[in-house]
Amino acid sequence: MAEEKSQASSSKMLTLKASDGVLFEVELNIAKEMKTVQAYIDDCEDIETIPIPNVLGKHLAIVIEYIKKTNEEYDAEFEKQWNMDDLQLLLLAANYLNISGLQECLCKAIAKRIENKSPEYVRKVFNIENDHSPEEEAKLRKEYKWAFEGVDKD
Amino acid sequence: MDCISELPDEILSYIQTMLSIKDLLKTSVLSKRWRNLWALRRDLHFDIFHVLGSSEEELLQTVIPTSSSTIERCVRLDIGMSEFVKRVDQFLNNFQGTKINSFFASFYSYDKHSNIIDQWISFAIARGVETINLLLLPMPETCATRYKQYKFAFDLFSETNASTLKHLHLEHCLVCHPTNRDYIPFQNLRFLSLERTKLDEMFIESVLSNCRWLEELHLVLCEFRSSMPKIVSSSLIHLKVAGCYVVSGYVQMQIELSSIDCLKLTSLEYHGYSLDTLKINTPLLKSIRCTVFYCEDPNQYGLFATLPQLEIMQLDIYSMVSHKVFD
Repeated sequence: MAEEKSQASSSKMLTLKASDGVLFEVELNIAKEMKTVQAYIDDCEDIETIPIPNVLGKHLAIVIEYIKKTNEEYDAEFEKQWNMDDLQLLLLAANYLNISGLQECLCKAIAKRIENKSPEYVRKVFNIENDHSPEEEAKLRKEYKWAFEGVDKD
Repeated sequence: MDCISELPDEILSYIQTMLSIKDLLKTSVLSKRWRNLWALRRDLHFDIFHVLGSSEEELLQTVIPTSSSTIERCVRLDIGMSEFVKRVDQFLNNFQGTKINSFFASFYSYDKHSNIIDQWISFAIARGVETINLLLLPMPETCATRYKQYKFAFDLFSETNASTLKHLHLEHCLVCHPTNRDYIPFQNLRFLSLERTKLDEMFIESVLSNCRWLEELHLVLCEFRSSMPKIVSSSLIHLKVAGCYVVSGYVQMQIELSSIDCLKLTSLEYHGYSLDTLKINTPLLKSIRCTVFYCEDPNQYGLFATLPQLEIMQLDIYSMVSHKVFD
């Protein structure tokens, strides 16, 4: 009887509901990799459907796939499939769901994509509002003149 | 639109840690928030090849000794070092963080900029640094007559006593004992590694007796003043001694390990001329790996067999057939 019970708990399925209503059935041990979900389960043991209000179905699917497949090889190829917008949204998802491996993988990918790019390019892809005054910005550019040389064309 | 700006400071700062110094400095103009994120950086890493960058060919040629004439090579190295020092100094002058975990630097061991480099170390110490790795590079032999090696002065620690320092690794420099020989400042050191450094053996003996939590010591290719230090420590767990020597006239002479008195030592690695005069008091020793070039009497290694905890012993004697004993 005890054996049956432990088998049942290891294959227990959980439903995750994305912000756009898409439902995902995942195994408990997969869901537990998301520390936010783990905290939810710890709070209410009987829960079957967990709402994930910050993450679109499209991105939740990618995150679940990552957790299932993650290894050195997979991680190395993972980021190549996504554009910059998706990478940022995936990082937001990974941060909300608190999955450290995926966060690290995405941070590395984003850092690589802005390597040697101009600040204008980075502001555009990250949608950053420049709140420096023109004088402040000019001062910084002058101070680190050498850093602004030899930048890739946008 | 949701975007990266919604992430907390720690994550954005983490992305910054993966950028080169050049890219990092550029992020300072993105916005005020990005400018201030620097202060969250805990690990400072300055490698001369990265700081000078790969898109600046002129400066890069400076630090890779190519086929240009000797004098030109030395001049370019000088220019490269000066530019490196200027850029790192600039970075540190603007760094507003209050805590640093680790300070790593790799550049040519050249004492021309010693004052500034000493300031960097003091800067890190003042911010509670726990790990210092100075992996200095030797100047090319052709420039050897024109320079002196960088001196790592333990006097730098005397003001603050560097009680947060746990891990210190130095390569290719002179190690200068504190002026007050009885006072060793970094009492909480756990790991000390000295490679290709020139120092006085009394300094090692002082460190061993004053750093009561030192667990690991490496002395690799070090030049001592007149003899090998005696290794006496109640806390040491791992010891590695390899290729140490003294200079007599212009001749390098290998020196032997003669005394190890470490009640907690569990592993010993030794590479040197011989171990014929070794006396040990190491009841917990589990693993010995040695390579020696000369052995008067192989039976003397029988003394290792009496160690009660011994599990692995690997002994290579080059002038005889090598012995490997696994127990």
